Amino acid sequence: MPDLNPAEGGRAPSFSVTAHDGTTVTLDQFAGKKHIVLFFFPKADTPG
Amino acid sequence: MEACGFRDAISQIQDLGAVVLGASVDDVKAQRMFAEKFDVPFKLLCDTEKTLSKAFGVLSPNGTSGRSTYLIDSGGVIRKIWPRVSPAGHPAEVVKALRAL
Repeated sequence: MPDLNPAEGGRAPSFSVTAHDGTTVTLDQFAGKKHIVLFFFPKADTPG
Repeated sequence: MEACGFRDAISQIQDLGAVVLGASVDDVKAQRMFAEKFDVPFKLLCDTEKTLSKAFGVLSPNGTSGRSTYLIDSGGVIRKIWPRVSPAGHPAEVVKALRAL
């Protein structure tokens, strides 16, 4: 998959990913409803 | 820690019409343990196939997701990117950016 490096002002790439609760989360499900704060982090087991 | 910062700011963020999604390349089991340990009140995405991290251009050479945040508006447009996040104070700047939308 090419590294698209999306930019400010551009469209977010669509996605469909499994969440920790087993549900599937997609970009489309929030369309017209919610803003999204999507943060990436390196590792789930970071100490608090 | 960043997820805890967003946890503590969640009501402010929700009041501004936004959802929070955390993402890393960890699997469901690791994310679930993490979510339970820290009472994370939002979804943690399991990007085990790294498609999400690649699509957003944040996959590090070591195969994990680089610390970065995207603010996407309800129209699907990226309004703000924080490419190298230092966790302290970050949720506050995200709240500020949401207010400015």
